[in-house]
Amino acid sequence: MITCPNCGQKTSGDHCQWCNYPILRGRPVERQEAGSVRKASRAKKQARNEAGQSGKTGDAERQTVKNARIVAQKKTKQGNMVSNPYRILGLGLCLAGTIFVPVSYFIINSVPLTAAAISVITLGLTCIALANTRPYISPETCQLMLKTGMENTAALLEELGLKNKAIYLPSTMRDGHPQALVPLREDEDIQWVKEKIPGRLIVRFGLNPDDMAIAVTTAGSINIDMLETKPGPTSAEIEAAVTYILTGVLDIANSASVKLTDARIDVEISGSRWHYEDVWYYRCLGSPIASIVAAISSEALQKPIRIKEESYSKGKSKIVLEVLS
Amino acid sequence: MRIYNKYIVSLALAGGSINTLLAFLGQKDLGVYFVLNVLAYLVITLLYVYFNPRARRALSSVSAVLFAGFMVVVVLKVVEILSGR
Repeated sequence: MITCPNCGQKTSGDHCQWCNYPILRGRPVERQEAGSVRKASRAKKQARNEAGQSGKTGDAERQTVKNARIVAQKKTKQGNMVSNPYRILGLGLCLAGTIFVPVSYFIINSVPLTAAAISVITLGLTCIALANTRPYISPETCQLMLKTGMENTAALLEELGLKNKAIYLPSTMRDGHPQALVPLREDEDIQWVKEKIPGRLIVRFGLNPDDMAIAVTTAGSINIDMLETKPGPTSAEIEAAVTYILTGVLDIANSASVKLTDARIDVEISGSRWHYEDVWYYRCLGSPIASIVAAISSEALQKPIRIKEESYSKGKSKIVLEVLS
Repeated sequence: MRIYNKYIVSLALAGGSINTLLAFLGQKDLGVYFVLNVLAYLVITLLYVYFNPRARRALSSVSAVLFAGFMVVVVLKVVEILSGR
């Protein structure tokens, strides 16, 4: 007999006889882990012995590594200084303005030109200030990371053959972290469990034993942490939060408008630079923009939300969300 | 970075328009130019509420410096008026 990690009942077999949760046997993995730990500690000991035998060689190597690290850091710093266009623009404007102010005031004797030169310095200072706020990681690296995560999730969904639309849950229904549930079977009338849904990959979300789902973290789940304050349950507050994230923080859209009516939320994103594609991942979890909007709306309303429709036409993305009770 | 570009372009346009307008009106006082430019800067910065927190912090420090300059000009003008010169 073994204790089910989902419902806590005593059971046997590959699945829990009470909640149908798959039972994973931990021993082989534990044994493997213990073996790898032993191997690692043996390798460490060996390395330490070798280092003791050739102490001088080790010192020289350490010094070389240290020097290489310092050179690399200097190069990165120089690269950042040169590659940031806002910093170059800012320094150029400040320099030009500083030279032009005394020339226009004392030599040319022109007040408007002096004022223009002061404006140029102000603009230069603004550019320098903005240059320091650019992200440390390049957008290409971020895209790479996101694509990796998305492809892994898509592979999981495809392997399991899941085509149901995901349900976005507020953080209060999970363990303080908003996530999306991809139900294993389609059910229109969900009887939600009263307690918090556990922070596992395979979870039971309804009173019905068949209400099982895969819980995944989406782009929207992570973005909730970027909000300074949690939005309230009105369309104006949701709109402000969505605009702040999409326009100010992520810079992937120009503006957003939100209309909230009963159990339906209509969102229109203009100037969206990330459109809906007809791929398995998007059909299931929605595009990253829809995912962000759904996660914010779910957090604001404190209710589960499903992406009902998503379309793109004439430079505008239209997203329809369904508020589940 | 499009929002940054928009912000910089709007600041440049506002500054340019104010300076051109005042020059056409024949304004000779540098303080007036400075005060109006700072006002335009503060208003435009305030309108861009959707900047990320780091950008807003950085711009607040620039705004504080400009506001200090604005206050100096205003105090000097007030002293000038009160002393009757």
